[in-house]
Amino acid sequence: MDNLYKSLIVDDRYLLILNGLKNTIIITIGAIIIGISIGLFIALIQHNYKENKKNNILYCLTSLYVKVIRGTPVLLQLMIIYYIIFRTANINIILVGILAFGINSGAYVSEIFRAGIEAVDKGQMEAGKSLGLTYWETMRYIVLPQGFKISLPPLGNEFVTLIKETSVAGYIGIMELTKSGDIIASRTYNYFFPLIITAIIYLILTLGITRCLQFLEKGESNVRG
Amino acid sequence: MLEVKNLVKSFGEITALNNINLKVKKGEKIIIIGPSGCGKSTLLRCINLLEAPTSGIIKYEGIETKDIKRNHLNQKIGMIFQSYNLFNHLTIIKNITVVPIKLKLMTKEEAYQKAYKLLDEMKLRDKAGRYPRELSGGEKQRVAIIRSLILEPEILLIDEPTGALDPENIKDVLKLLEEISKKGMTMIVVTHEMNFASYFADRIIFMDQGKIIVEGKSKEIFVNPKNERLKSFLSKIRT
Repeated sequence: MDNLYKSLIVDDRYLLILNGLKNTIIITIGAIIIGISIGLFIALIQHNYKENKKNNILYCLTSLYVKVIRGTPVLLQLMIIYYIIFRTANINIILVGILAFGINSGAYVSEIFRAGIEAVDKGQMEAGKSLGLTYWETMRYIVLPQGFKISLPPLGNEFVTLIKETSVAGYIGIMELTKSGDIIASRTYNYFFPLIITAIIYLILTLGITRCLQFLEKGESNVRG
Repeated sequence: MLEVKNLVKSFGEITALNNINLKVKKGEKIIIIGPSGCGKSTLLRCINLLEAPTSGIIKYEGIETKDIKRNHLNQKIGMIFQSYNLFNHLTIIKNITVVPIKLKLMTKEEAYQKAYKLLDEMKLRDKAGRYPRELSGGEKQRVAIIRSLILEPEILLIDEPTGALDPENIKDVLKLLEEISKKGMTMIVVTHEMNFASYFADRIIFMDQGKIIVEGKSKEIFVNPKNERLKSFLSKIRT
């Protein structure tokens, strides 16, 4: 009990945990927003290329991006962005984290959306076109709503992975949840409570996301034919 | 109103359409028959530009279709698919109204009014709030036809409309096609329903291996076929 007291109450150490939690959540939400934007953009470019043979250069660039990001460790990407790209810039370190994890997630999300769009029956696009919609109109009103629904379960997985991956942000000095637990542990010379408490908080977050997405999926269960 | 000249369509090595020539007059009802893989569907898909022709000319109202924006052309040339292709994520009423509303061809009220009227005529009003997966095949196909009709197309291309239906549903869909034709719609129908073809068509076209082999009135095709390939096709279908 004494150890638990030391881990949380002495020196208001629970504030450290709360601050870490706040940063983890901020980074994750920011990265999700960036990731979805990048992912959607890339998935649309790639589908447009495959369907209409347009935007060859953009297609090659986005393919390269996906390959590079998926083929290198996220910690390395984070370090490159922080130590090389923003080396001299006076930039908020949380923002660096959001950017790095957003750029990383975008590559994975693009593959999720691509698979979702491709899983929509080709007849849907043809029907839309045959009624006089353009490719983009059909994509927006007909194909994407259905593809998005198919993408939801893997998208949920990606966010769960993302929230856990942000734990490496401590490496460049971002005060996120894992780092907070680590700091408390090193100050109290007791690893059990800080680390277990941190783990439980992650568990609550990830289970929460999973729940939310299950709810969303059910709400949209009419989408699939 | 529609003219196809020396149309060729190949997919890599395979020639799906080999030098097709066809003229369609306003109000004409044309039936295309032939073994599967003969290019019937590809011909329809080339006419409404779902496939780009490899070579040849297709003219609509005297203008080459490649000079018309595809989406503008497709508002004039409707298409009905064998697999209906209703939008799975939308209710029936939204399936019918989404295109005219999004294209701002009608206001929401106009579109709904018109859609309900068409649904009433086809006794499908009670399905308006349902999703496609809750309907039978025949109902889906009739909704697909309404969805096309609400845009008031000049030509309807119909690709094996009853290919995926059971006999009872087939009757409903064919009856509907007949009613539409009576209102003067120009129609090109690909079908295996020979009985329907014989009384419906002004002209029947028999295709095989990407070519038009014979074309003529239903009597010439069904009662007294002279061409050997046509004869063997018909005998296979009738057994």
